[in-house]
Amino acid sequence: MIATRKLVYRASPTARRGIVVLAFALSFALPVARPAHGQSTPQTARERAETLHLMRREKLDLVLPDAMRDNGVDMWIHVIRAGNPDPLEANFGSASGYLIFTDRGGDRIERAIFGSGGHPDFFDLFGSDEVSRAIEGYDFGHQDPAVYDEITRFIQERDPRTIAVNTSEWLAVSDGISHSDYMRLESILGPTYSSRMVSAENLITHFRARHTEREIAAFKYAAEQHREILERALSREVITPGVTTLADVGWWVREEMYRRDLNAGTSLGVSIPRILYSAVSEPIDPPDVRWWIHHDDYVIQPGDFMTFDIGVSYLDYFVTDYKRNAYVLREGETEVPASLQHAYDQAIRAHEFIRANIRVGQTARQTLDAIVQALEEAGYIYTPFIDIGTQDYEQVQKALAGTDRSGFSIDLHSQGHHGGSLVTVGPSMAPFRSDRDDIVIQENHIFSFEYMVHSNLPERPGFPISLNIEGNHVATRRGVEYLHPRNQRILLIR
Amino acid sequence: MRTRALPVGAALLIAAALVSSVPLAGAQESMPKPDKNTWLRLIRNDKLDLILPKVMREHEVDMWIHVTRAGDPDPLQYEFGTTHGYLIFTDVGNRIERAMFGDVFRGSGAVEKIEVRGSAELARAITGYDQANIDFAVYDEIRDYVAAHDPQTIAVNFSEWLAVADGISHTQYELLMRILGPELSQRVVSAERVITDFRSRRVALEVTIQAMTLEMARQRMVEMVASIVPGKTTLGDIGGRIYYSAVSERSREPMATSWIRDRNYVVQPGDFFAMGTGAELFDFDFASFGVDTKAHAYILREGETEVPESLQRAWDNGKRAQAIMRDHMRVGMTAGEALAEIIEAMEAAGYLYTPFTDDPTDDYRMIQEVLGDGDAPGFYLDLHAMGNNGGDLVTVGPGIAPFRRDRDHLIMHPNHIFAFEYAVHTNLPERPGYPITINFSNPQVLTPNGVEWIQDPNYGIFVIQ
Repeated sequence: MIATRKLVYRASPTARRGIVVLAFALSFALPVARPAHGQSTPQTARERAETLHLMRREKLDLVLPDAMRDNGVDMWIHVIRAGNPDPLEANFGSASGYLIFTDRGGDRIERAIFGSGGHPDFFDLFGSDEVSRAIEGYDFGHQDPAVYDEITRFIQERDPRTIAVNTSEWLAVSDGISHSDYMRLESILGPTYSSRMVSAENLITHFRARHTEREIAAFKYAAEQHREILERALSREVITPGVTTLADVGWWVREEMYRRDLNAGTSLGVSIPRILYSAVSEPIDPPDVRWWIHHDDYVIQPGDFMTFDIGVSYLDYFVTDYKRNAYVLREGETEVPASLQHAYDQAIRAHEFIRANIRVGQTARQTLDAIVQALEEAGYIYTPFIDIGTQDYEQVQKALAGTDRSGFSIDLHSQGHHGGSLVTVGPSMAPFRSDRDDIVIQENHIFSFEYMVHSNLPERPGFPISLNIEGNHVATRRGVEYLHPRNQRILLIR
Repeated sequence: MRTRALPVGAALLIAAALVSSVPLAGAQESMPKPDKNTWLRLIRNDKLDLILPKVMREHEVDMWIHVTRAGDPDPLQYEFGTTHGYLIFTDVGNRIERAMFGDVFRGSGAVEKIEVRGSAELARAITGYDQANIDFAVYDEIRDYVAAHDPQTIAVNFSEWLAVADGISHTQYELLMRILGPELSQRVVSAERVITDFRSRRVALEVTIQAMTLEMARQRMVEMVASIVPGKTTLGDIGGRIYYSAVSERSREPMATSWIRDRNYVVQPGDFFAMGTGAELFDFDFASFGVDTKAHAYILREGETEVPESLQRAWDNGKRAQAIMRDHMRVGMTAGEALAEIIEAMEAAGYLYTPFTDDPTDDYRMIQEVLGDGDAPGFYLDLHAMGNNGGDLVTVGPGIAPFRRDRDHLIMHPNHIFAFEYAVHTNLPERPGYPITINFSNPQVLTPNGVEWIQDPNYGIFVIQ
């Protein structure tokens, strides 16, 4: 049977606060089973739900007003159709229908929902049951179009000059409205208000990329889970040289994520470590800037130097994305060979030059230019990637031919909801993300501190090693602050 | 107080389980949990190999273009995995050719056996690589591919009717029309019928997943019943709703869905109620296989040894209706035909039809009017599609209910998983003018043999002492 909803009402802010206070009081009173010691404590289902609820609420209370006003938006209509998952589900949960946010002055944006699933903590006004049922498809084909008139009236009463809608050629996350729903929205708005529609892409960019303190804390939790899993994966607990394959390590990570109730995904493919150098093994594929050897059944050997990149999905809200490096000692070795250590040190040295040039208030482009300039002045050679591994490697080979200097590439992409893919939302500093050039770095900008440094190796003349250093950190007015211990040492596997 | 749970009527097997000294948790541990990724791979391949060709041909679709965009989740991710771009199925006669312009992530976990792949340049453009500088000509290879196959009908994932078939965004739809050009664009139709049948025609492993999920839920239900402590357990603890209480008054207008449904209400001796629990064998997010099952229970009052006669009669009226309806669901019927046939059979058996609007307050008034002070029970039905669809209005597949008439034309195919859900209303002497409405719901499967039970079809009332 279909769940029914309450009639139109307005809950007072005081009452809403009371509900939340009570919920938290209860959560502290309830006994929770916890491990005695050792690895970090898994959260209870209740803790996870409360964290998510609080993040959603804080986002609406604290971020939405400025996101709308800074982008000159009077009204934001976010259309979600039940049965067609929405890119902003992390923020709006199970809400569906017409989520309408109107700037009517004051500290708070008026929040209305014509549809289903809106929590009273998130919305002030609720449409009728009739329109909610029509939106969901109740007795489709026999609906009276007049049922949508209440939405039309609601908009007319507020008379917004600019109506942002979740449609965007540019930004996938802002492109959730389906073709059918877009056509219906135009019909609801009528010609006058339809002509005031703009893409919500800039608003959504700011809504997503500006983070509250609670979000920072949640992301930090995910980043710590990530670190624990990753560092254990790159140890003798998981890797037995001569026995363990790259896929074995990848699947161990997946199982550990699953065990910790982190979204481990459903695909049969698994992220595996990348061998960047091997004292004993030869590559079977053309050289690629991302790896030297990279196939599931490769057995890890003494003398292998590797990097491993994983992503932890937490509450289906945040995704982490960062790496660690490890070396498998050979018989008689007690430390990393000097050439590899030098390449690694060159990469770590670049970190401070980059960090010093990331500042809140700058655009992505200004930041990229400043970083490139600083690193070039420090003696590094810029290799602006196109993000095609084999072609980028050829570029590195050419740039580093006959020199002792190191090269570098930059991809300081926005992090949080979408990993490091091209759909990530927010300012991103990379030559192949130039569509993000004009986006300003805001306070609490969570980003992937990702770059590569390429160095020649005497053991592999003509084939430089490319070291990808990556961490997930936050830019604040104080500069770049670390959310987890930096990548500052090569993990040794004995 | 120690709770003892005993069934009545035909539910002797449940009684044996409940009074047994075998720990109930042990029963759960004995059920192996299959590997999700392996099963998902099998399902995806079977659906593409066995279901897709029939579905496309029956709906006269020469080509199905399924458009997805990285960053905008796809309603058909369960079927296809993570794809970004243009997944194109073409009927080339001896097979359905599979082409992908864009990316299929983690190849073996998503669509397999792709015969034609677009260029890397196109895949990067689709993902948004350096978007400010994309040359539209990069999309020419899609148009060339479509034109070379010259389909007369091109189904695309947009639909006013069916949300699950409405995944293409507005901007992506406009881009597709531009790619196809005016002539091919004219051949575009909604993929809603193809998607309906592609999802709702179930392969064997899907039925297995559904049955295992239901068994997990049943085991939890048995544990839950055993944990009920009258005077302490709340409705919130058990996902319950009171249909009748000998001691408690309702606090709101009567509804067809429940008499009392306050989460904080503490169950009492003399309460008759329904309860349900969830279970998830595999997490497919929005496409997870659901449960939608209700069990019924009565808490004995001091001195009682069985369910009061009036309540038992009301429940028996409900159970009797199940057998009547079961006989009137057959593979090959449309949902509308099944609805008409069931109503006719039920009315012939003496039940009064109360076609719900699914507004529980209005529906209860209707029941009061229709039943009057007579002895004849009333009924309504909502035999909606289940599986990884849920029971809400966006569920995909045949739905037999008066408020789902947009599904009337859909044919019930073999392995149709549906919620055998209906309610039967009966006057009670203890509550004159306020009939009891008992909802029966348990997903089952329709095969050429008829309705086959893949879970306990409400064998009896749990009796709690």
